[in-house]
Amino acid sequence: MPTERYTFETLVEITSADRQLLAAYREHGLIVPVSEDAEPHFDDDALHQIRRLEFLRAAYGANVEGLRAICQLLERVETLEAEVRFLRARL
Amino acid sequence: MPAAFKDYYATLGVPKTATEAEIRKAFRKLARQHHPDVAQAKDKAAAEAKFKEINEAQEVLTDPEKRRKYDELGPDWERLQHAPPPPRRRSSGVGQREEAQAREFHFEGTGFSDFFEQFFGGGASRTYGFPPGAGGSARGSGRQRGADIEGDILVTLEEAMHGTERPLRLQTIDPETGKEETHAFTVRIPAGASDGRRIRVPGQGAPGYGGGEAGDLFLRIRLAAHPDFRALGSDLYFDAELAPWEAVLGTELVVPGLSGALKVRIPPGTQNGQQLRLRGAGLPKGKSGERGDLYVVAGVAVPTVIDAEERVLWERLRDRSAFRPRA
Repeated sequence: MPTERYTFETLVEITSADRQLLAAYREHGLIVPVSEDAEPHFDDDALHQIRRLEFLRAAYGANVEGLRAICQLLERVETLEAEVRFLRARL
Repeated sequence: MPAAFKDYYATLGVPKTATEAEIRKAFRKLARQHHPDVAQAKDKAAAEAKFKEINEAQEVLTDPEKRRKYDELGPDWERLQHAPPPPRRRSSGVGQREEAQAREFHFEGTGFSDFFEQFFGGGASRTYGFPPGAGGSARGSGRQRGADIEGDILVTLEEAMHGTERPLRLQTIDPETGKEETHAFTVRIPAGASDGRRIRVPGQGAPGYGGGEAGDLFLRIRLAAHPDFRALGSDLYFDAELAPWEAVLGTELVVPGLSGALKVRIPPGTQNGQQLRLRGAGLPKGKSGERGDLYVVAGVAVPTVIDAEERVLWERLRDRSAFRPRA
């Protein structure tokens, strides 16, 4: 079974993404650690997010600001969809 | 691999003209009957299959957009069944290599039928095509990492509560060779898995090229609708219907919690929509051991049919009461 928590170094290794770029993603809040005990740890959602960011960057040339805008919109849509499902279930 | 048509109206036993409220009512009734936790041990597998079937039917029929699409699909089913897969089943990257990665995927064990996956985007099908050099390729070596596959996996609240292991089978068909491959593996759903969270299964995505490694499979948790609870994050909501006198005078209710029934005191003067919080009776919050809360949401129901004696009593109450809700 997959490891569910990854250090920053493991993320770099698994994704083969540029270390500085990943640091920039973290700095801009595009990937967020799930725990910060001795060092930050990330989960599968963060790994998926990196893959998505790398895809958007390579395929559409989005810069970090653009990626942040896209991710905020996607997150907002997902939150609203969840709220709509929750409220509709009251019927 | 053509998917078999699903008659969702027949699954829930409702007519095509049923309102959303009628569909939800039919779902709740069937869900209570077939809930895996209610079924006898020997019927558990059958009950689980039926529960997932009715969950899928309500997922489509209670979502106006999905229902409209489903209703439009009906007459065209035969034609669409033989049509090429919709574009979303293909890798969405740029370049011919990504197009070459366009494989057909077929899951067993996610809780969603092939039909649902094909037409309602809830199941396994979405892939990301990663252009060469992005996301794991060995630059300049000709090797390219395979695309990731995304799919949904239906998880009951009880499974989210305690965690579970789910055997999955992934079948792929190579569009160029027509070769079919089946991979069987087990996915562990951790306790506290929340709706929308993703679980990565390394190496179960599309195969790589030129010796590149295979992509990953990302399964997105979709919490199944429950006959008694609504979930929002790690909190659960139980809609408690109260008689008017129960709301006014107060009462005691037994609420079916996920870890056993709970007694709840409804205080006198409880308002419609008022929420009573049962701390720590919700779903686990990840690995911390902490749990969300269970909210009992009061809803005052009124009788639609009353006999002559009841009418007299209600009229006496009306004349006697000083309560003026619009004053």
